[in-house]
Amino acid sequence: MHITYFLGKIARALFTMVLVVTFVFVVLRATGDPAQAMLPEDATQQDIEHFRSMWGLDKPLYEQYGVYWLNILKGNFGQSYRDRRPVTDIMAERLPKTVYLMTLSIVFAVIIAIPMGVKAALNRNTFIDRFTMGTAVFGFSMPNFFLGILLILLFSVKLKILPSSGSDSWKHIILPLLTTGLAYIGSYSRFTRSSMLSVLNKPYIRTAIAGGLSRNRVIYGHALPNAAIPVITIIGATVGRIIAGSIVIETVFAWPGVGRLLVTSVGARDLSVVQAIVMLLSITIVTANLIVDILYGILDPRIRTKKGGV
Amino acid sequence: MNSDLLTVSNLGVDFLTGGRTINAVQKVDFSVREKEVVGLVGESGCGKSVSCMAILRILGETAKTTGSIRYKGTELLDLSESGIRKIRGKEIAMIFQDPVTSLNPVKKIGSQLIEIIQLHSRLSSDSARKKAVSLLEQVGIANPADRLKDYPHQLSGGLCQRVMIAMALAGDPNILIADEPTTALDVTVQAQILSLLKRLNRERGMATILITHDLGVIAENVERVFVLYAGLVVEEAPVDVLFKKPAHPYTQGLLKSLPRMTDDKERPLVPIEGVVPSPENRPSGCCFQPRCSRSTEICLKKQPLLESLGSGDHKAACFHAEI
Repeated sequence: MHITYFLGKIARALFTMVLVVTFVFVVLRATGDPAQAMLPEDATQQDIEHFRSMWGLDKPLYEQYGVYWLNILKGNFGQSYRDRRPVTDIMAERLPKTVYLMTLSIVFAVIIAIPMGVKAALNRNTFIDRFTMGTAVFGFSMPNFFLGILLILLFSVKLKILPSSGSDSWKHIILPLLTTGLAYIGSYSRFTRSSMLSVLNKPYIRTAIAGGLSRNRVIYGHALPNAAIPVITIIGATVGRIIAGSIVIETVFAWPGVGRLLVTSVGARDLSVVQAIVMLLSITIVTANLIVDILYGILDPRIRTKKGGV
Repeated sequence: MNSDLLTVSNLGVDFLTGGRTINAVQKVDFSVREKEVVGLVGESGCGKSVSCMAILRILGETAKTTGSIRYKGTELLDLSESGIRKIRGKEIAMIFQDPVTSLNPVKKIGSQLIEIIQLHSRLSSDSARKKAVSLLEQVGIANPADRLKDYPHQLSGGLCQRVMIAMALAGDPNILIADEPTTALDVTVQAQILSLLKRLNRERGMATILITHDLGVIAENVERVFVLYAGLVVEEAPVDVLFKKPAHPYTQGLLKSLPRMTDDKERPLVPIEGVVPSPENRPSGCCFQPRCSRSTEICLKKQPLLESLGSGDHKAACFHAEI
């Protein structure tokens, strides 16, 4: 594999993250004053100034920016104005919850969606195809928050068999998992189907059949590895969005993860926390894209030899 | 004379697409004897490739095949799916027109070749690898062990076709169907591939069906020729007879439209007027009748059958065949 190809990719990824952090830093400071959001309305001018000097908000913006980067490089993401605790501690509590929920949703979706898409492609225009694709369209066109509430109504309110909020037991994960999983199943299975359909007409599939291979070997050994390439992209995109994708779902199910933390921190203008989460969010997207690029190289040998790639 | 290894009779193929039925092959009869090289020749769309894919039943679910295809006495059209799978690659192998896209782009040459070898022989992976190297050697690939590690896109079209041939040989088949094996390749490579096929036929005694639109390829490489037109066999003859005394007006037209080295420069090339009728608009009676100078009233009414013209091996489907 071309080492320059990957070094180029990594450099570009780092550059993107620097841009994102800078952008968030500027936008958060340009759109409002944390002192006003944090302190009570009747706070005196003195209180406000004290708050500002305590958090370094009275310094010029470029100095704050320099200090901010210096701290990041030291692994210090600042203190939460609200909790008065290091951001890293808060993240260490919240992040595993989000990763747990979202990873499980994606794994659940992949296990169901890929065989479903293959099945639909092999039975094109039959009842099986229409039924599975109908379910898929339902899955990804249904807004998360709406489906989540419907599931709560059914399983928590009406049937009273599953809890509607929190994360204390394995039962708590079922509803959020179903809600996010269904949306992912929708998009993964449609991609798998269309990708399979285009691959099944390729001459090398005819070669494999003419050589005497069994149907399963042709489908899973020859067609699927080729069809997987675009499917990997879409899975990679959702992996990259695990933090962003958790915002709505965690709010609906009161799941104590990073997504919910972001929503409350934005409301409170808790700058350090928001900055850290947005940074994390961009890191996951950029890293997931990087991994997808590398996976491409592994799955499709033709990409590896192209100089530089895109 | 050798006995027939494969007999295709009364073969018809319809494709059902979007509620319509398209007739790709009307009535094709041909046979292949042991160790023989036969040629199927005709323009694109005449049904030569479809007929051969029907033998291995690889046309897909939209195709409906009728008639009879007998291989060593077994009716291939009656076999179960697992039955026909034992024929594919093991008894009858096939190579295709575009060798580069006919190989799986995400798998190494070696793994594709070894997969087929192990499917047909139950060798250990070590011996299968050795066999793969020896097969690549047999098809004239230099440094075969290194080539196993290559992906198809790293090889030229000619090399890919050699790999395809090696894969076809993996099951040690009795018949090789070569569907326009050189059409996508340039002329020098074309000659190399054809001589390779000839050598394999000689050395292994493997019968070969060569599908082509190129009469030059036919003249140099095959023993018997079947000329197809609009999904029908219109003439069958040993190759020398076909070129010396073509009987069907279509064959005669094809030969007249062919330039020759020995020709008088003044002799014009004569094209066949008109176009091949599409499957939906086939004319009544003889399919060639609208383009034929010899056509009479009977040609408008009846499709002539393939009949022997004196000597048993020369047949034509024409009321006005020239003997």
